[in-house]
Amino acid sequence: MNITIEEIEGGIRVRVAEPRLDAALAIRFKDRLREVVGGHGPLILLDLSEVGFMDSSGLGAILAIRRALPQGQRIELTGLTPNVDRVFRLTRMDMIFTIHGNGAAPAETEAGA
Amino acid sequence: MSRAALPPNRPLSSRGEPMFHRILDADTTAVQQALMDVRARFEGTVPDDALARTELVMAEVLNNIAQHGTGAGKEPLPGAAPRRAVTIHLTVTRHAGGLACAVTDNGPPLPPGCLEEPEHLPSPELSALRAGGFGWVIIRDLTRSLFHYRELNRNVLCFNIPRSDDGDMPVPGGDADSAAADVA
Repeated sequence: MNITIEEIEGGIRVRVAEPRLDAALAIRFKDRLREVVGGHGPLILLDLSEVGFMDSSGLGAILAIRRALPQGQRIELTGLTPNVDRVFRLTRMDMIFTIHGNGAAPAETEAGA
Repeated sequence: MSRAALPPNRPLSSRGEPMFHRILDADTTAVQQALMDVRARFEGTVPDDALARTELVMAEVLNNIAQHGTGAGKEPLPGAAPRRAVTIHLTVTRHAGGLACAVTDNGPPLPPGCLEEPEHLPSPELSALRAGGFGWVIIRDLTRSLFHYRELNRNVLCFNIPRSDDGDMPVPGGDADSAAADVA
């Protein structure tokens, strides 16, 4: 499970360096992300620009981490490739995350209402 | 036996052939390999976007079987054997209107209602908390002519993935080869 962490204004950027976030990887991804999230924040900017394929298992892992976030922390997303973006749109999960344009620095907004 | 003994027109690779067939164990690693092989087979012969939609739908269908059909669940204990060994048969056929897919498995019957659109959708926030059922949302949205039946001890699930996202089905007068040609 390849993940790199970089400190940014207000938190960390978590770059997922995996081509596929699918059922074969979802549990490891979730466990790794949970480790990373503890002790950082408040912003966890999840950079998915290297992920070319994600299914509902990958989405489920991100949602599980979101549910378990400590008070005051938030997950925002950046670098959605077209196939990953499609999964967020079809499931309407684009409505519950703040999603930034490719590679852009996070805007100083709270995650959506 | 020398190489010269081979028939002269023997195909060296099945890449681009209009039909893909695979029998695989219902586990997420075998599923991942099958998806990559489907992609390798059809890449360049159907629009990239149609292939991406096929890959996503197939991932949802096959991983449902690997997780629920085997009784392993979404988070099996490491090294634990699934409750049932399930075998999947997968067929994908390229035609003028897109890709026709058939998936069969010898797991327990598919629960009723999976193929039907729900009467009303929960709010996105509630969906996010439940974090379930997304697979069938994706499958229903991206497929056409989705149907399921039970034959002997197998589930049979069939569907089409149209060539274009909003397209309904076939290109009139087209055939698989001309459909392939206009992608190039």
